[in-house]
Amino acid sequence: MDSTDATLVDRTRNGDERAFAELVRRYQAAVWGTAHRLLGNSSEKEDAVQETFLRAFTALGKFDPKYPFGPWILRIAANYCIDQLRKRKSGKTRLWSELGDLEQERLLRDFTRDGGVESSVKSDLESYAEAARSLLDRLNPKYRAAFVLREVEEREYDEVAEILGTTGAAARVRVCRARSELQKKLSELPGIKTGKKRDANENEKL
Amino acid sequence: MKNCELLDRYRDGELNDSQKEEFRRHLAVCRECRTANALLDNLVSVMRDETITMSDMADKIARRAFQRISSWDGLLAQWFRPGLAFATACLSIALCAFIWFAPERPPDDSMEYETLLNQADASDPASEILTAGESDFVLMLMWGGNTQ
Ligand SMILES: [Zn+2]
Repeated sequence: MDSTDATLVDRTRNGDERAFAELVRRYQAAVWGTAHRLLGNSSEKEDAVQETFLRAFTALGKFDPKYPFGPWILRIAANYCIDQLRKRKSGKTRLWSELGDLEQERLLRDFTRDGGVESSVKSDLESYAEAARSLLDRLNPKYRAAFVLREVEEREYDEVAEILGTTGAAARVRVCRARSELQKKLSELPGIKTGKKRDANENEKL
Repeated sequence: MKNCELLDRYRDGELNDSQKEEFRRHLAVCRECRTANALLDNLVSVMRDETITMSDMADKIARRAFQRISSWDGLLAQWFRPGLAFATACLSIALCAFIWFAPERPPDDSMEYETLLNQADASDPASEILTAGESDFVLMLMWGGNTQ
């Protein structure tokens, strides 16, 4: 089956369930990955993937097949995840984490070590990844999404902007803010010296 | 431009070779930039290397999507199925009755409702208003009240 995305979209609109399943199969890994990096290891992630595709399905009439499907579906996913992160922040729940705060801080301290992540880290990659997400959890959700899309997923700024529904310049600013916020958040943890002076009014409105 | 501000451009791969060389020399002497860069490198590499186990949800999602609604055209056809039409009619009547006879209804609400109805009647053929209203209602029923 080598149909184009546009063909699959068209067949889905005409009531072909298998075409939609194929479309989901093509993009579920990308959506799953982004949702995982934004929401962490929780059942929220599975809901995010399902909800993303169901929203895409109902909005499929608005999709213009002249444009690529990937950024479009990721935009729906990013919107959903950012909303979830905002809700989570107000509810102050951290469902995703099985590690205690102290354990996370211990792992995070290793991140300031120069020279890349060492073999000891690799052996416990999952815990370190979780600690990394716990640091990302302290970011503004919009900055976090920009950072993940740009730095972790290595997308061009144009694509990041498209997914986040903003301009390239704004996407760039968000990534820069995320980078400096990450240092700041890390320096707020006990026993960590990053040399980063804390700007009192680096208050961000983007 | 301050060297520390070059960190972003360095990470974005936007420095030319000599600028890159210069920035690397700066990294060697500036602890702040070195720590920041190490932190970002380590965060990114850990998140990139992480194996994310995924289950194939494609068939399940497609089934759910089509259970909700077979297609936008199909929606209208479904509405005209007698069983559903009857159920919808009963519910509509119940809803209207509730709206009209709800005891704690403030008096001007009904005024507003009537004005709206009259306006709608005046501007559009009644059948169209009905279909629009009803298909919304069907949507709501099909989605279990979880309209999006
Ligand atoms: Zn520096």
